[in-house]
Amino acid sequence: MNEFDVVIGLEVHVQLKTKSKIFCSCSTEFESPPNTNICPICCGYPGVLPVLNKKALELAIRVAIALNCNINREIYFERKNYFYPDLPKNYQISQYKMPIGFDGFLELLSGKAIKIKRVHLEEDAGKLIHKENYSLVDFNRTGIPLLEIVSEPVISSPYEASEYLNYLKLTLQYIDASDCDMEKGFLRCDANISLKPKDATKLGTKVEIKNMNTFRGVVDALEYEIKRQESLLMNKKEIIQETRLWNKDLSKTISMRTKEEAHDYRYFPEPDLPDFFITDKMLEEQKKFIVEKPQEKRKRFIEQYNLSYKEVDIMISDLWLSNFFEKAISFYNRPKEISNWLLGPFLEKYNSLKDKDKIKISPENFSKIVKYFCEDKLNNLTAKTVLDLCITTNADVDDVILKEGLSQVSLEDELIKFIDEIIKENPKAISEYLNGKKEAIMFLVGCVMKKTNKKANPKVAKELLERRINEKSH
Amino acid sequence: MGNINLINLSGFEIAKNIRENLITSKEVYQFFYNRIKELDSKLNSFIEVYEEAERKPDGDSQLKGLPIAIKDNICIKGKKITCASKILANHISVYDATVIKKLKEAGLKIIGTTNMDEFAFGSSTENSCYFTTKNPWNTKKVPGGSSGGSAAAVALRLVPFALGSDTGGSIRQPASFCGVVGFKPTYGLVSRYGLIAFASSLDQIGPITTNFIDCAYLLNIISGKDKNDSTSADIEKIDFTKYLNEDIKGLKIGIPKEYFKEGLDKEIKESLKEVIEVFKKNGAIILDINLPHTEYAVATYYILASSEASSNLARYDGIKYGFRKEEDSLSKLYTSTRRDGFGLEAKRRIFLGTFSLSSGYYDAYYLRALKVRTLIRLDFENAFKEVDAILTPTSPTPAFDIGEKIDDPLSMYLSDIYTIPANLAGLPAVSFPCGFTKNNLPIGAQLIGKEFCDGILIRLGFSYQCKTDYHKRIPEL
Repeated sequence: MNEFDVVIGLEVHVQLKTKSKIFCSCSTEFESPPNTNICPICCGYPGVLPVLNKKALELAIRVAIALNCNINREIYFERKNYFYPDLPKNYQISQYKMPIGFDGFLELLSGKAIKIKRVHLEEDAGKLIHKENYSLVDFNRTGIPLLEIVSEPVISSPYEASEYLNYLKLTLQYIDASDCDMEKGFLRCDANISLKPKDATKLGTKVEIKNMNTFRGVVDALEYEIKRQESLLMNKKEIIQETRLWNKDLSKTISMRTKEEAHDYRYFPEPDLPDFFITDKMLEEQKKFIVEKPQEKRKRFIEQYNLSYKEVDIMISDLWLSNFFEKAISFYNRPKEISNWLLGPFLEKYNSLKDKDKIKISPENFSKIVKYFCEDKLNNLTAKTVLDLCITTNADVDDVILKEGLSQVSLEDELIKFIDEIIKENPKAISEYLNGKKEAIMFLVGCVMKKTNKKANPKVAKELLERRINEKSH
Repeated sequence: MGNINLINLSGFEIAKNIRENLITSKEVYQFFYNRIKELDSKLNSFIEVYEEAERKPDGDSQLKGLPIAIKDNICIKGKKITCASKILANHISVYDATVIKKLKEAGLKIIGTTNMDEFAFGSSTENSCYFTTKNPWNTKKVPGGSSGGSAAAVALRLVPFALGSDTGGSIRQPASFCGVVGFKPTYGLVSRYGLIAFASSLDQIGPITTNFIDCAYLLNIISGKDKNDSTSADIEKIDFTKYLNEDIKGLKIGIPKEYFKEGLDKEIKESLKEVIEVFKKNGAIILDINLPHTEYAVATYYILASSEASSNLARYDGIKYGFRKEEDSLSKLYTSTRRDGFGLEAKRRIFLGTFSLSSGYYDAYYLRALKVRTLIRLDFENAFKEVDAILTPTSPTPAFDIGEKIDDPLSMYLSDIYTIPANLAGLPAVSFPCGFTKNNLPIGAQLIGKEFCDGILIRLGFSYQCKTDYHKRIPEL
């Protein structure tokens, strides 16, 4: 491993978050039945023409800005010609000579900038479903706007590749350009990888890897490929320029086609679409959507709120969550406690709902629950109960506490009568306690909690119990 | 319908009779329907003829109630539209082209689809998968192409007018061979949505009529910005009929010497001289001009048009619609479907275009052709600094014999030598009848105008027809 430098370049495709397709008005809805989001245009019927969805262009510009790219002010589309049944026109409308963005970069936590070669807009193909002796095609995905983001070959390990992908995904999510859900195929990644001796300046022969459907898959495939190429080089064997497919089940890459079998795509300018001019106004409009980058947010959260790396990484992996956090602490400035409750009980509920739109509780209401907990007005259990009752309704926390009678019973006067009853009912435990078995007190605290419907402040209850038992025994 | 002789009337006059209740729209439709049934067996200009639709069109216009024929490459919802190709055999269009929508909204009735060269590849209508259309002036001759069906049908008054499409002369050349008016508008004036593409950067839909009045009214109906066609021009709506009232005094007409060199038929050359005299008499000023890159137009066109066509025709693969040759593997299905589905000329152009776009050849062919296209465009720009329109012959020869050029593609391609430059430059151009050879074959003259100055061509053409009657002659079969 030490004898070779690893050189990786990633080609990422992300689906842009538009309501309609890139060249027609069909819906981009993900889970529709096959061939229901289709029309003559996206099915390539004779005589149809494409019309560019303005929103797709805007999102592409937004991403190019967020990835620090230079922007081509006059862009045009080209046709990429190849025959495949999931491509109804047998050409893909894409960009070749004039991508929207070029020469950008994405910064990793180490400070290393991964150069981005180009960002271009294109249409997605459909989906083929292979059966035993026939195949089916679903054109729902055909024409969904895709952004292709190509890095320079400057990534030097599978770990770096994974970090690049993670921050690329977060960057796009932060600016609301794509959901980047890899499971749903909203983000797809191909890799180029080559090895070269440490002292060499010339790059080695590259191999393209496809079919890595998860972040884990990317890392595994790259690790496998490094070992494979390393062993070839060690044995003085030649590396063939080819495209290989990652097979998850076999945990290896398998040759798909060699350079000789590569396509000639016969790109030429798409005559059905005019040139598009990206004006200053369009750029300014998109810059409004560029928010603090995830890497910056991470750094700030660590410095400003004194949270652990682990906590911050969870927080920044979800812009909504981190925004909620910051709003909540604006009402109750105890970051550590807010974070504990947010990443604990709140996140558990959030994850189980699988839909942040169902979360209705306001940051202010949420901060109140944490505040009451810290002020001993709610105990751990009652606070969770209040959160449960408010999280999908945003009912007022004070109202809920009052209505449900969840206010913590910590006034001595209120508690003392329960405690006297408990002492009377549990002579055995009392005598054990008096005989030195100090744990018995916790059993009695439990009894108090039970009797008060969990509303007692356990700390106060313990103190009172001890005082009362001692009083009585004297 | 009394004593009205419909074949001697313009579409505009027939529509006027309908408005004045001298004849009903239904009677007009029936008259032309019967005429097609009676005479078209001798021409084969129609692929399909429709009995009159039950439902009356809702729309209105100066041409309301008239039937119109449509070239078989313009989509009509629910009708078989095939581009005269086996590969689209039995393909029923699922939507109306924008021009069809506009015609219906204007109260016109589609009477049928007309024959053409397969995918508009050709200049003789011999490349149809159905049959060869004949020239109504001499049935041994071709009607020109690729809109040969539309031109022949209008010439014989089987229909008052028709729509064609023009990529390199496909409206104008058959119009000249058949003795009718064929207008190719400025690129972008008429929506291409629903026109089955041959070469997207060159294709335009246009009217084929017997006279300039009908031409102007039809242009009014079919032109205009279309949100479904990004290449349609966002310009103010033009009323082309207003040009029918303007004289041509002081208009400057350029005569490019490159269009009158060897290869031009003598009778046509003589006939053009007479056209010049008529324009002079009407007050126009005639000037000699140069279009120096004209000789490269045909080569440039065949590279660019074929390149675009090779890509536009890729979708016909047997997977989604149209003809499919069943095979046991995908690549065999593709190759067999396309081998059996496309005719010879279509295959020739797909090969040529695929080659021109291939890596290693792209710069020498496609890219270089694009550059020459710019030079040709600049030739016209320069010329139009001096003149308002350019007058040329439409075709170097009158209609040739059926079978004469079918095995000689280069000589066939040269019959579009005068019409191709206007497509490359995106300019409006029209062919109108200007005489007959001693063998009684029509001769066409062509006017080329500035971008979006289509109206000037109407103005000049109408002034010519006011002084001549070539356009009133009807072939006798």
